[in-house]
Amino acid sequence: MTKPEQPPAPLSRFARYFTTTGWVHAILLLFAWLFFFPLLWMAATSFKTDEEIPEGALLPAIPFFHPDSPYVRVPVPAQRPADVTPDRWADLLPILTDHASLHILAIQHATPKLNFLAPIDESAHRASAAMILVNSAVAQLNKDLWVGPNFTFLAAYDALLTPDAINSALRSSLAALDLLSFQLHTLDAHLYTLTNAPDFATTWQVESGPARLVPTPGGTLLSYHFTDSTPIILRHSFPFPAGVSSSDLHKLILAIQSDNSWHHVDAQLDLPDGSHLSSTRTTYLAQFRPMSFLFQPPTFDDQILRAKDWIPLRKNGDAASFSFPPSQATLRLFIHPSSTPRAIWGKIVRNYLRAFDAIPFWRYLANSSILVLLTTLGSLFSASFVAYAFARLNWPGRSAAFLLLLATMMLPPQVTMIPGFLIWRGLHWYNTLNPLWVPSFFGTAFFIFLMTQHMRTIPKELEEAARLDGLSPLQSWYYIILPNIKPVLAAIAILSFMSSWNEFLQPLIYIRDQAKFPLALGLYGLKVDQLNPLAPDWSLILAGDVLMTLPVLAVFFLFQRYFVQGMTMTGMKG
Amino acid sequence: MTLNQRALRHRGMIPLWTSVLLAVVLLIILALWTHQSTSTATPDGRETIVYWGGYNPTTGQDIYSVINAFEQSHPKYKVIMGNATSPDSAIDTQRMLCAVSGGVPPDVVWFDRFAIGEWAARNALTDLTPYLNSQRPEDPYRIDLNDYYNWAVKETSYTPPNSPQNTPGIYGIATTTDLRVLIANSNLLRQEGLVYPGTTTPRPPKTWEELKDYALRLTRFKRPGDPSSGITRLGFAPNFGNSYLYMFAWQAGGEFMSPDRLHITLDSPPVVRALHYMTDVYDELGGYPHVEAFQQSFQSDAMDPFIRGDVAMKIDGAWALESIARFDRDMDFIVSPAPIPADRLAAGHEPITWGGGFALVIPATAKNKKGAWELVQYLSSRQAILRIEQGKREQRESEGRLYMPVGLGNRKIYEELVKKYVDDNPAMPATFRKAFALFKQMMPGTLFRPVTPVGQLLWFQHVDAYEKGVRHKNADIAKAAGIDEMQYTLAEAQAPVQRMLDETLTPLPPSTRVNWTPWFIVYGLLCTLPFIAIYITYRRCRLSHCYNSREVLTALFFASPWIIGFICFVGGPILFSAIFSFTRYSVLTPAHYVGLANFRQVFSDPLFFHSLSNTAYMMIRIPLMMSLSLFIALLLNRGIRFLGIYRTLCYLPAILPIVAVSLLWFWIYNPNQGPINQTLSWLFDTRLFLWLDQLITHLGHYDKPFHFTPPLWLQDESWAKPSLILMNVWQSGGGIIIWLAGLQSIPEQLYEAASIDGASKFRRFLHVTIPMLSPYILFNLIIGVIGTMSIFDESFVMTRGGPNDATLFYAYHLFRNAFQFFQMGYSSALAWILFLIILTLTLLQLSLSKRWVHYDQT
Repeated sequence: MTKPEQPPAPLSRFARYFTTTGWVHAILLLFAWLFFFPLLWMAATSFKTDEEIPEGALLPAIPFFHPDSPYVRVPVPAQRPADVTPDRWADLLPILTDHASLHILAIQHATPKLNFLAPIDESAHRASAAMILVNSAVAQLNKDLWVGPNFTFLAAYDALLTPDAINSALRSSLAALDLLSFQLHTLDAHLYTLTNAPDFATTWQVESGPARLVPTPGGTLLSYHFTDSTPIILRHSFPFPAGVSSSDLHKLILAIQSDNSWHHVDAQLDLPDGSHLSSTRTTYLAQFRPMSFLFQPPTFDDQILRAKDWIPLRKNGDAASFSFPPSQATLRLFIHPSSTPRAIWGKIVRNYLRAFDAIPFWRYLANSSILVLLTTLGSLFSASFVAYAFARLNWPGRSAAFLLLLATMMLPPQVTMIPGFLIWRGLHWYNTLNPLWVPSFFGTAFFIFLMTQHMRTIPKELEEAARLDGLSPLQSWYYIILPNIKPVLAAIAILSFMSSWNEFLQPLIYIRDQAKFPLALGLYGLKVDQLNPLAPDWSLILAGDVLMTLPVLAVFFLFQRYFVQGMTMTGMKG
Repeated sequence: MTLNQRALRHRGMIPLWTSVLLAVVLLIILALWTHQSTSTATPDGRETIVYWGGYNPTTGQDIYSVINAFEQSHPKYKVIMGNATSPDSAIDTQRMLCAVSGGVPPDVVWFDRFAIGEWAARNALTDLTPYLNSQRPEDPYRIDLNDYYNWAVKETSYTPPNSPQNTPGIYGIATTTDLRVLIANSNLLRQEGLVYPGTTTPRPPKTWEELKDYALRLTRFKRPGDPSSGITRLGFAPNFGNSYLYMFAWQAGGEFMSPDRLHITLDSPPVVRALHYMTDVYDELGGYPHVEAFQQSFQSDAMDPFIRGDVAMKIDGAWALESIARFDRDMDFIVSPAPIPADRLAAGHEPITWGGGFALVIPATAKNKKGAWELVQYLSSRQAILRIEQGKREQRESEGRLYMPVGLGNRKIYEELVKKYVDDNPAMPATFRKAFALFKQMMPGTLFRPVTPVGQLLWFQHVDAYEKGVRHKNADIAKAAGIDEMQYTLAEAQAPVQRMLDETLTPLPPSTRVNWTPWFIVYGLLCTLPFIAIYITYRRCRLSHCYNSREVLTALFFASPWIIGFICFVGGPILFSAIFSFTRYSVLTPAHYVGLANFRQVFSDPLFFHSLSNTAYMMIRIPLMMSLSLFIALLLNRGIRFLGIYRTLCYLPAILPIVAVSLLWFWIYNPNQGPINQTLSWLFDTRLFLWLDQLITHLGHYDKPFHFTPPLWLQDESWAKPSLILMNVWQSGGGIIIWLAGLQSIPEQLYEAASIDGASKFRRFLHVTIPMLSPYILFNLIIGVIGTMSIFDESFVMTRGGPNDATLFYAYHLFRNAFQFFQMGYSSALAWILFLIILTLTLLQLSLSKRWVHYDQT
């Protein structure tokens, strides 16, 4: 509608803004959110740990600074069994909790206190353990007991509060750094256990830092209390087993129970042959579960394309002479405190670093980049070149050829795959990247069709003028047509970039050697690798997917400005 | 104007010849680089063995250490590790078929034992018997099949069913195995009082009858006692986990093939009984769709309902322990043999289990069979397996996960592993120890799927029969015909398998064998004909000056990349696929002409019409996708701020990896936990909808009160396709950039002129934008029809054609025939029929387009 000459009442600034451009922003923001959501979901999931995946929350938990360990874990919520009514549950829960607390208190009094560096709050510990105890006991009760009289119910409940159950609850409600075992693996696959759990307290030393090794029933834990950024240095000097020399060492395996403090760990190793090695990857004390550190000096493992799931040790000068008697090796663990930002950073990068180590990422990226570059160049050239013949020139058989071009898209590719393979095989291009990019230089029907449709809209007069100027067809294609097809060239560049970037089936069929994989196929290794196919490592897979998506996003962001530029560049002013 | 002046007008541009030169130089550099990076390493005098099986979940990363050790102990060999085998044998089949038919087969393959029958029947695998027999007793890597479970050896053995030869050939050496057991949540059994009298020890069900009773007692519905209100906790469902009809049929004493392996016995009484039993359990739980909706709402183990206590019991493979160990290793569960019918238990039959697994095979055309055999021996040796398992243990534990040994075909080594890593491991929870004790006990008596040339088709048809049976698809027909419903369903599913088995076992006469040589000459002629035609047309027309010779030559020059590409790479495969369609061709065996048999078969194939109509249904997405992407493109074509960011975000769905997208949509469509249904169920419980419920109940005179319920999306036959369409519409961002390219080329003056004439915004859109975009609309329509008619990824990645073939699209149907049932000939016939359909549609569009598409070529 035409604008009214005089607006009846001055609109507020906001209303004016909204009626002109605001509504566009509003709609676009809505779409942008709908479209952005999956990326957010992917990214959020890629930061999660194994423990968080089953919880189903959208965002991962934020780690924060833990000065002390052991520390009491946050109590878990009580879980009502499906057959119990909410009212009954509300009545009974306080009683159940009290009973549990009382039983725990008795055990707490009866057991000797461990000599922790920072004493733990016993009542908080009790409260946290009580919830675990309530949940585990309630889950075992027959549903009929809940509707019966209180005394039979409580008798059955109390019977489940056994010392074993209580001790287990006390243990699970406390986050602690337990040292479980220390083993040496030789290159000929022999495994020697050097330290068992109870022996850590006697054979390992805290060299410096605010920590102490505390013997526990059946094991050893490291109690610490950080006040500043001084790291804890844990040292262990050990002789190599008889008949094993420094050059036989494959890896050292230290099994621990982690305390989810996100403190970061580095290591140094002095070998009997006098070499001094330091870790080149920082690890984090993530999650509450048993895990192990694999320390590995350079071996044949570094030469092959396998997942690097160990902490590499690299030569770093010769060992300081004073640190050990000859024929002994010394391992030093440096536990640095992670402040809250450092812990968050550690959590963000953790799965990404794992993804980089799990596959030869940079090699795959290089393969993909060169493929994408060649394919995009090829598509741009062939589409603009061939479309010129279809759109701008008059020749016999043009319509038939055009239909043939379209027809090549209509036959399902599944039935031409094997004859196609035979052709490339005949050219001796099996197991090379060539079958993946060469075809783009001969033109893709989809792009030629798109380009033809666009070229047909360019006015004839433009070329007539050029021809009068004496330009050859090639010059006319280059000087007249190309500047006018920039928006479509940009579209083709993006589409062909994307399809070759994500191409999976072709490289799977044509490439045999892992070293030649492009990224899309290489990342697939993350899915089949690692674990059981039925318990996939989702955070690792999604970290890989995010890494895969980011370059495309960047390229799109850079190219999309050609859609605006195209308008001013087109020479259609006359 | 002279040329120089003209060039001056394009000052911004690099001169033509410079850019040609630059492009050529750049291309040469890049091509050299790829050539260098792709040329295989220089030979070092060692023989190569190509091993496909690289890293995979069951070997873990230490396969590399093992290969390294092999190369050290066998210095004359160099092992080339092939691709990662995908966990999906369907993808692998394409790769294997290409490599084998292309003459570049691997030497050793880590192969699904289930497929051995099909490949061995087509002579594609090497019989290992001579190698086994010629082993010296002192050979350190000697394979002794007596160490193996008998069934695992039988699963790798094959002999043609009608052959007089009695000793079957052995086509593979078993590696890993699995088996299936009943796993139950102890606490849920305790809550229900399902314990041994006087104790708190949970008591697993022993018979089918008990199992059904347990299933009902342990299940909870949203509204107690009302199965239609939806399940909140599932006690047990026959096919939750991994059991299939195979498991239940074996439990009832059934078999799927006659002992001579010439007849499929899918409709034999025990199998019928098993299907009845499964259906009964589903019916009593409120019907299959409800249970299916519940069980399918958990797509990944990340939300394993069994661990969360949402499912009380399941029959599943031993691998299910892996996910318990990973997410809740303290869980209290029991493992027991899956129950069998009470009468069979009373008659003294033992509970059964069935398993499968992998084997190392050597393709029949392998180049280095001796080396391959030595590698097979080495990989099967105790030291190699122990090393792999130790490596896996270290890797799992370094990631804070519990390691459990994998099931092995080699009994000796398996029992050693279980002792070492389970029995003697103090950190192993007692629940897992008990489970492994049972595995060890059940392993020797494991059953396996028949080794037959039609194993894959038999499997698909058995799943199909199960899906139809539990949904009561044939209830009416069977009732009208007066036969048993399940009997009818199974007989129907069995017919195609029997036909294919008969066909495979009757060889065609050698005279019908395809000789390819004449076809190359035909192809050469076909390629020259168009040029002759062009020349003749040109000559005829010359007098009337309709063509300019210079222009024709220029056109051929410009079109030459495509013409050359077509002749060299595209045309040949097209011709050959056309020939395939008149042959019987399994790719592994030579093709034989069968005339029009494939085309006749098409019209008797019920899935042909079904998949075609599924595909046609998806046409709905074309206008939806086009209009949404055009709408967004119009918004994005305005000069507003943050445009770059908006454009990038709107394009996002098109660039995300399909696997991530499908995961996301599984979650969105999740019938219970998904955001859509969470919102809908909240909405349907509001007062307005409750009132509407009453109104509809009142007006419609339903015998039961009506209630709005959210759809089951991908799990519902009638909603599956709309769900996919919705997903596609969301993904239509790819179209945006094509529209944008089109919008950018509309000259602004047209709009200016129109607004001077007083045209409103809407009229400008209608009379300027739409006509100027018409070439793009035509493009999108044609591409949309082609893309929709050959739609494949959605069913391949997301739905696998389910539920009950509701998303079995045409291209997926032909893919299954080509690569899973080894019917390349039939598949090509299907492809050419699709081609003709698409061609007709396209020609129709092109001829109609003359009326409405506006090109600037008047």
